[in-house]
Amino acid sequence: MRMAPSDFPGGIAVPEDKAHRDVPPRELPLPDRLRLPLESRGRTLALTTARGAHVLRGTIVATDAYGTPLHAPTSGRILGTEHDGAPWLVLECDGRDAAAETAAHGAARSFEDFVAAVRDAGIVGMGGGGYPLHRKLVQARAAGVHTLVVNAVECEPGLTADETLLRTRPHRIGDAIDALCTALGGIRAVVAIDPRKRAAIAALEAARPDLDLVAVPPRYPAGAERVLVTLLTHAPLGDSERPVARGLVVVNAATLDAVGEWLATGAPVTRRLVAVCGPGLRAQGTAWVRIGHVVRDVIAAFGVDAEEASRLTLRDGGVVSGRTISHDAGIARTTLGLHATTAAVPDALPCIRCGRCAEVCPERLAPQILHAHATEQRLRGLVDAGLDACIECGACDLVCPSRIPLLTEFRAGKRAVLAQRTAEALADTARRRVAAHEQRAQETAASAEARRRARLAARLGPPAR
Amino acid sequence: MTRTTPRIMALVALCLVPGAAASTLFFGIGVLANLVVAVLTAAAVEAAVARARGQAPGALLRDGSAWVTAVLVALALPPGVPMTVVLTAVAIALLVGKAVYGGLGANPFNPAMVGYAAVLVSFPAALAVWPDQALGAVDGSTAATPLDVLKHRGGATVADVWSAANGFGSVAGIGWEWVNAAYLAGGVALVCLRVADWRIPVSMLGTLTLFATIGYDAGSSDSHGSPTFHLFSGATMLGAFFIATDPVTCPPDARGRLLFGALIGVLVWTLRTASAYPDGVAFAVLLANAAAPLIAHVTARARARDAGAAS
Repeated sequence: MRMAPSDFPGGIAVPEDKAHRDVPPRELPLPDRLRLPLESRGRTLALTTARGAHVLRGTIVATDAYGTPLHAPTSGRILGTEHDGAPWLVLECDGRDAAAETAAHGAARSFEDFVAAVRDAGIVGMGGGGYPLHRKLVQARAAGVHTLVVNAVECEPGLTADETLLRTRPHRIGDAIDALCTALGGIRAVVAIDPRKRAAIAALEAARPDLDLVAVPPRYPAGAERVLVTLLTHAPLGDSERPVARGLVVVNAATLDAVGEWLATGAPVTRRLVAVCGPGLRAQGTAWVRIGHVVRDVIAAFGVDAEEASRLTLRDGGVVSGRTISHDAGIARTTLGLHATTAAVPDALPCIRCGRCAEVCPERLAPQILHAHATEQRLRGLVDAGLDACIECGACDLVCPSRIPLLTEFRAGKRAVLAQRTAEALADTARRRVAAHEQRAQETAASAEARRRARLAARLGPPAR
Repeated sequence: MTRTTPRIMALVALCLVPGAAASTLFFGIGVLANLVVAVLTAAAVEAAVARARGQAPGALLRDGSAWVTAVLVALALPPGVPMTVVLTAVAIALLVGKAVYGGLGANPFNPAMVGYAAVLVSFPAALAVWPDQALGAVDGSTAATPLDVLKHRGGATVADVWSAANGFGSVAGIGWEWVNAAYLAGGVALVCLRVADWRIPVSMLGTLTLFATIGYDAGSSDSHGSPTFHLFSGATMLGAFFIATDPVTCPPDARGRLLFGALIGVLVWTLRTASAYPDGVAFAVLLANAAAPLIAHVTARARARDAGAAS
């Protein structure tokens, strides 16, 4: 295993909190009902089923704007949709878990067919981003990438899902790597991993000694996509550049595991491995859950009774960069894990401008300046100070001595900026439409006037002189 | 990672202990009296401000910054100064130096220096005298500080002054050199604990040394005191490590802080040699505080240019 060729600015060494990394993953039993998330990347999915419909495991129930389907994770009856701040599709499980017919993955096919098959399998980025893999492959091919980067870093404290997949099913991931590299024209692959994941590294090296493993600095957030590009090339990405600009396509290890499962069985995505961790739990580990498995039921399987659960704050994705998740939410394809804490959030003190946040920011931003703008609701100030470049890693949040919830502020700021930009775009379109309409009206009136004059002239003959 | 703002304030107070102890040792029990009055005044003022804002009385004391301000003011003032002066200084520091701007983090000027400067110009006589450190001086007598003596020596050479006025020790004033050494020790600890940014004391002391070296011509009647004299006199070390390093009132980035420290160094030397005041640390810090936003604007833009060039 070699070291990454470069280092990244900022970052912070945090305790891994992965003492439970070697615990074997559990298989949770099917619950009575599932709540499938109907929102992906801020957009609502389009339903392709209706209340009362009977579905099998693998039946398509919704699609996103790119045509990526969401499949029923088990057989049962659609009870309907619910909305409690987010849209959910409720499926009552019949317990039989009957599967729809799946076409086995045939012999080598064209790139277009492969991409269509990946799309139909419902594979999206399972490292939290949720971006449809088929779109990523099309963009990668168009940009002529030369390397597939497997993101197995999983730098977030407490999360052990990716590393458990590598440890227990390295061949699945290896096969997926081969398939993607072949589809993209025979490119090479690199596996970026944190060197402290010793068991996972050993398993991967034993199963696939031919794979190129690269150790990243054991610092948070080495696993962020943009940071990974900096580590592997010597050129950090510009503000609006994507990894393909450096010839790289970055895919999360769990996404590759889903590809591997599909290659082996032909089955679409119906489940994922989630980490269940945090100081609020006595038992920690990972669990295979169906998409839509309600969070409350997942932690109950780890020995948390209802009374204890009411005292827990759960975060989807870890303590640093995760978001609070409701106990009634259903696991999404993008849910990395559930992190449980009982700690109350301390009151924030004012910013003392110590500058620690800027020291750890991997994008070289000045979070204290962003914070000053955010508290005054100055959207223009936020954008000028570089809010768009913020990767929401939360390192600044971790080090702030005044315990200011910087990540929450910046996420809210991004939402506000997006809302304003959308409103401005709509206003701009409306303005142009009105201007065009006025122009047309004027032209119509002018030409009508001209015609009227011509008719008058024809009737009266030339003017007397 | 569990370093919170109150803990940072506590560390600052802890690192002030060597200097405060040396001060008490050489200048007497008056130092402790100043500390007590200052701390009590701080508690009362912050409680009043909190009440005026509709908050609980202890709300503003939670972050610990008021205690630090009080201690710094108390250590800057001469022991034996009237209690009303101490009270006024601390009250002005917390009200005019901090509260009117919106509280912790919002003030442009170092609160302790605002309070100290206010009483310095209001009660110049009371602040000019410190306990006499000359050999054989009667206990309880006061005298001008070594910086003061050097400034008002007329046409004497430095060597003359040193032998005549008995308040001068090996490198600087008796007592003063030890007090400064103690603040230096506490200050180095503060930097090693990564509470104070090393750039400010290094650039301040470095610039002061540079200008003092240029201005010292081996002690003729026109020269201004050697570099070591300046480093170990007056409020140099206290200012360098505990006052100039206040993160709220200095530029936020590395390059800006180096400039800021250098500016203070230049100003301290200039004020000591050319102004009417014997020690210039307080005014130097306040002037640099005023320049801090401009420095930050210039150096932050410089950083954005570097980052832009790299991408």
